[in-house]
Amino acid sequence: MKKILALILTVVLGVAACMGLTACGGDSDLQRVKDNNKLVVGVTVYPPMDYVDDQGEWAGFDAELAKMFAEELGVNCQIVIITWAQKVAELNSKQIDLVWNGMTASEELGAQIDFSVSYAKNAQVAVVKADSAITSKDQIKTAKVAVEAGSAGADVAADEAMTTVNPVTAQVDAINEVKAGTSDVAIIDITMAQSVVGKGEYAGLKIVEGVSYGDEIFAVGLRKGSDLKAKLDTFLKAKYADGTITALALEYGVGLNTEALAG
Amino acid sequence: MGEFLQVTSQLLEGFSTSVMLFILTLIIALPLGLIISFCTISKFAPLRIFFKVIVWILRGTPLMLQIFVIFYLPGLLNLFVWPTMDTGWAWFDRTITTRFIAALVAFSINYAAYFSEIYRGGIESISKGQFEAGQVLGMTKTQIFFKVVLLQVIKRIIPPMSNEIITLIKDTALANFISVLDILYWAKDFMLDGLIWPLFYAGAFYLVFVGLLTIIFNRVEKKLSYFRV
Repeated sequence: MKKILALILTVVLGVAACMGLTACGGDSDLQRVKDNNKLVVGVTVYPPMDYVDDQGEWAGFDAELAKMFAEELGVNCQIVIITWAQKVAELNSKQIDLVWNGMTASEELGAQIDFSVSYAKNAQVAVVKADSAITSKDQIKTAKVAVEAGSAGADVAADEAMTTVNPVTAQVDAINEVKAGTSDVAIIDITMAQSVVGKGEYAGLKIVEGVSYGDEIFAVGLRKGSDLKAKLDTFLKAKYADGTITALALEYGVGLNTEALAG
Repeated sequence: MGEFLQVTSQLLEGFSTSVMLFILTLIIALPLGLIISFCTISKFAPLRIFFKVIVWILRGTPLMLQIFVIFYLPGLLNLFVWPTMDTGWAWFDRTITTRFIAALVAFSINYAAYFSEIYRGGIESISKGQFEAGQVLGMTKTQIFFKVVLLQVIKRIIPPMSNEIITLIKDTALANFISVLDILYWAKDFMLDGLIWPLFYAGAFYLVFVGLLTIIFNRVEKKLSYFRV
């Protein structure tokens, strides 16, 4: 019995030691992805960036770009759901190769992981009537402001301590308030503002120039020092140059970071 | 009604992951626990002490932390990455993911530690006289264990085992932490759409399952009651 147990123990320890020795060598992410024949992309369900469509397939602005990128690398694209709070651990432990999920490229996060070229941006802007006298943040503070309740715009209104705030149920209602004259200013997403203001029904409105709140840029997250970054940046810029990204942005209503993509 | 069906099928899919994790953990942890219990009652001191320390660590730290360590640490230390299955069988590949395998390893080791202590209690509760009687009859140690002791041990450990096994099905929800898409993940996912009832509905799945387990364990206990001394 004793001998058997000693044998078992030896085997257990031996296996543990072997596991320790079989390091998956090389630091090249590109090589790893090619060896595994798949690009693993970590996401959360976050429309319009990443979501599962009626056919059970991943769709969304980010998901479609990720699939194209994998195709360009000549490997399969595996999109996996991760816990957002653990994205850095997921990357560093090589469970995923990229975080591609409308991720805000913040300074704090930049200390842990690398970012691709920023491909999209989000910010809150002020929409007013085309003939409005409002041109500055100070004037907006004391004006009648419409925001969507619970939105980033509502946060801006609270942070800026705006005096008269009308919370409405949708961003489009906020613009309608301005159009109807019941509010002076609507604080909404730049993505939405750019797609509707100044056109059709909303031709009589404009975005206040030079005023925006809470600028956020979206980027793809990579492991620090990953050699996938050069490939990814080239890919994003090329897809912008040939119009693919612009078409996707229109389809999914995403505000592109055109300066970064064109640079 | 369409919504109810959609929620039901999604939760069922999630629950199949939970149940798979439950069954596979039992298949690995039940024998592994017995081996560990032999080690912790061994007369060979280094082996005994080594496994006592292992059991102490496994029972003394949160399972959630163990899952985290087992899933992320090998990659963070550049040792290895948990394998994926590419069998091409959609349900299997969707259920048995890298994450699932790491969770299975964590659950198996953790539950084996708890089971080993239950086995140890059972084995040590058998009176010494029975071992001695076996030896007098000329039986080997192995024969005594499998022919005399084991069945009595099984009978005695069924109540604490059923307790631990019932805990296991609920603990599988911890695998959520490394994004194993179990029933609670999907229940929470519906919350993003503003639905809260799927969460309570998910509770019913566990309740029914534990109800079935309880009935099974009662049956087994009754079957073994002829052993009463």
